[in-house]
Amino acid sequence: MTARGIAILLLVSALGGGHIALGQTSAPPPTAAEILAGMRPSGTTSGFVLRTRLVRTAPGLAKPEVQQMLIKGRRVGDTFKVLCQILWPPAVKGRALYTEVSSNRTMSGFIFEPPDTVTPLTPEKMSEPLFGSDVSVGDMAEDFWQWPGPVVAGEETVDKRACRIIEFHAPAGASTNCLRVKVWISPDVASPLRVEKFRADGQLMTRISAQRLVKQSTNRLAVATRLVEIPARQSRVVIETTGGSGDADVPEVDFTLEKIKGWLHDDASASTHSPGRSPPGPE
Amino acid sequence: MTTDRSSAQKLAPANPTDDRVFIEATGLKRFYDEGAVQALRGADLRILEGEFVAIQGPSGCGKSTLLQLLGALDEPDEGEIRFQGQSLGDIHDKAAFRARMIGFVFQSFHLLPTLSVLENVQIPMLEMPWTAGDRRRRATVLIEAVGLSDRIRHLPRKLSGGERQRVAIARSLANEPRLLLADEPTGNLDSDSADRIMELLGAIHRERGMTMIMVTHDPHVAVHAARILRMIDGRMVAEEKPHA
Amino acid sequence: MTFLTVIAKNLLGRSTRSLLTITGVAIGIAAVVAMTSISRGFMKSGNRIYSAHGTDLVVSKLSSQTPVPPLFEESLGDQFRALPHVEVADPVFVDILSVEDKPMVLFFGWEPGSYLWQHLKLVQGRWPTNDTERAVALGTLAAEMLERKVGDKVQILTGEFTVVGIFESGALLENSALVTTLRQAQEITESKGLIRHISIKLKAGTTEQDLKELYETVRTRFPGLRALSANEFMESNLGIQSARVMSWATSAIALTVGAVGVMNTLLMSVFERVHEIGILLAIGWRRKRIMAMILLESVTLSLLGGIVGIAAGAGFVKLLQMLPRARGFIEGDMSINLTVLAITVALVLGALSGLYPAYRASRLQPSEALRYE
Repeated sequence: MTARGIAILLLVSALGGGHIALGQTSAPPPTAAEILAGMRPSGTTSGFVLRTRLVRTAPGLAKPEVQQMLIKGRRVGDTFKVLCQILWPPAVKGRALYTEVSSNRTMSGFIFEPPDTVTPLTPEKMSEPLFGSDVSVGDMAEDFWQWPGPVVAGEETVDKRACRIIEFHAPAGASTNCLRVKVWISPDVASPLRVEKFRADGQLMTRISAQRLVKQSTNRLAVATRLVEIPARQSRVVIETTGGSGDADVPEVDFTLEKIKGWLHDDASASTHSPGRSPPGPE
Repeated sequence: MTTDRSSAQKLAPANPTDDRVFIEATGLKRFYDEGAVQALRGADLRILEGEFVAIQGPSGCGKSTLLQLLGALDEPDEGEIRFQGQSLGDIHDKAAFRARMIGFVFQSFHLLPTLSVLENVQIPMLEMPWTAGDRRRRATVLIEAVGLSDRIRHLPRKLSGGERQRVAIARSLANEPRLLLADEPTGNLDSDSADRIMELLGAIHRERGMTMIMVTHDPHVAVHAARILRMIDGRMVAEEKPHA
Repeated sequence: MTFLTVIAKNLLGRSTRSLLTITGVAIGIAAVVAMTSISRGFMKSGNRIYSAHGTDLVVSKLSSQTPVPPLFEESLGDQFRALPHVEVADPVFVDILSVEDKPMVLFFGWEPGSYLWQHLKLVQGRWPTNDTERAVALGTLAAEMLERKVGDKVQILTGEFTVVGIFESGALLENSALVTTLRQAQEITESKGLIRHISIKLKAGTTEQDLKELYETVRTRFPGLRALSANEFMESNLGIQSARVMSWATSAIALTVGAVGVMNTLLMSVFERVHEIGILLAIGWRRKRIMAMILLESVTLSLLGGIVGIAAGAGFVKLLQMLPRARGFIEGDMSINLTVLAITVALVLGALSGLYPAYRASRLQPSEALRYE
């Protein structure tokens, strides 16, 4: 999980916006806090499951890299849990990142690498590279949605939709390379149409843009395909939602380490072996 | 309607002094470019049956325009043309009239490039109620008459200028017309071919006694006719009988 | 030599112009034929899935928004077995998934004893028979696409399935599908106890009237569910409807482009012959004959172009079918109807394209026409 890792977590944190019920008032213009508040239903239990397919292209790659990833989320009151699991290809199958944000705005969680390696997300860990890439854990795990004092930074039309731009600034002492995040929000769409993350020197680190929107059963639009661009590495990742439900009852147990480790073992015991294709894991 | 006139005409040579007026044109005017150019300024003429007439004048004098009017290829802006007393303006289907009555020979030959000599000559015949066999026979006779039997299956592009004009002449006789109109028939030919074509036209006139009107700028060509009408600036200015 | 000979010689003598015109017409017609053939093939393929099974009715929760119908309780299916005239009512799970690095494929889950397995032809291995076994059978095209043989593993969502068999189906879309048992499909998609539709076989001798009553019963006893005939079910699918509209739209565009191209070519060729028309008028041809000549030439060229276009369109579709991207999804349907339609279009175009210029040209004064170079 390298640059793609960033992508996932940004996706996840973008999803942290949850289901939108954006109220529109006439004048005066809403404050950032009001816009964001409108994005989060309060005091309800809700979950989602997303099946995604990631295709990464970068110079030096002969063929685009493809990954299958399952993302599950669950909100209970003010606690928000998200789990990303890589399903395929076999070399990285089973890797997972779990994050939990609670009402006091702290983030906790862990990184799991099969068969047994669990690394908790501590403040020290945040500055270490993730899975040996040039991206730190903190870069990925940062949940900018929790940063204090977001401001309305303007309006812009993106893909013929009027958006409000909200800016987040990293609080002092945060261990992160990313100092500033801009988010484009349209009232008709459940997630931001665009997210841009900037480094301390003002350079663009990452841009996530919505490529394709689909109508959900609630007649709300959801982002079905996202493009993640990391200029420094000239890489592009297209994240396509291939299935799942924006409104699913995901049981708590799914977010436990046991369950996360468990599904790999299920495979090992349930399937018949064939030479050269057994999954890694204890026999 | 379809009488076999050719035999009658071969036996009895035409008598130019006959008083039957074949064509009479009065006060012909023709404008082009919405009145900016006047090609004919009141041309008159009278042609007797069986006459061989040349209309001669410098280029731009309106002689081609006059010929086109006489051949019902165009309509005058003013004036009248009568064929044996009948006004051309009264004729509704001019194409049918042309098919029966008039044969044309053009300066640029105007043969159909995709058809052979034999087929080209038969083209006008499609308007006559003759069978395919009839048409072929008549065309073969005509082609023989102009001396091109050995080229009968050739395409026009394989013929010289003179040969093409001969085919055009044969074609003009296809429906046994009573009038032959020739617009600068030797204009695109070298002097040898030109002579041969004029000989041919003369022979046709003698043998068939047809009324023939030829338009030319060249006085040496005009001299082959029995009567020369001179034109300048859209009007007839003089008349000559070179052999009288 | 006859009038028709003249026309033939005209067309042959100007071979380049004739060929260009025929090509122009052929392109337009080929486009129409190809588009229509593909869309009809798509419809037929979809229909065949259900007719191949011998399914008479499909019961589902109707929704036009999604490519697959919404989930509903499996237990409702049991109640359908008890309805009059129903011979068999089998629950079906179906989904569209992205598998490994491939884009979307059809994923089916059927009960081991269901009649739905019977229409498939097993070419290698065996069927998944056990609800607890993580086994899957692949259609021949799916096996090709994923490059798997019997005994290999394939990752479907969170489960690693073993390929136990490879099958062939009369319905093209099924050949690129993955099929497992209902329980496994439900488990892996985390939809335990849920299905997407019920496939029903009716008892022999069910009349139209019986069918009507059955529809009513479903409507009143199971609000939210609808019974549709296999055909209707296919038609109600959002994907099918979109494909239909798309193909209609592209056919219309192709036809317009083709028509404009054809008419342009024919008009050009006629206007080029104004001079010749002048000669013909001068040497005695009546206007009617000239118009007939131009008309016949236009129609002949369009007819030839139509024939070439039909062959080219059909050939193109066959070629498309061989491309790896399209395998399993594109199937042409060249019916007699389509051929007749194409020929008619070509003839009509030819006639219309010839008529106007023919009329205009023959209305000229010969002297005017002769003046054209």
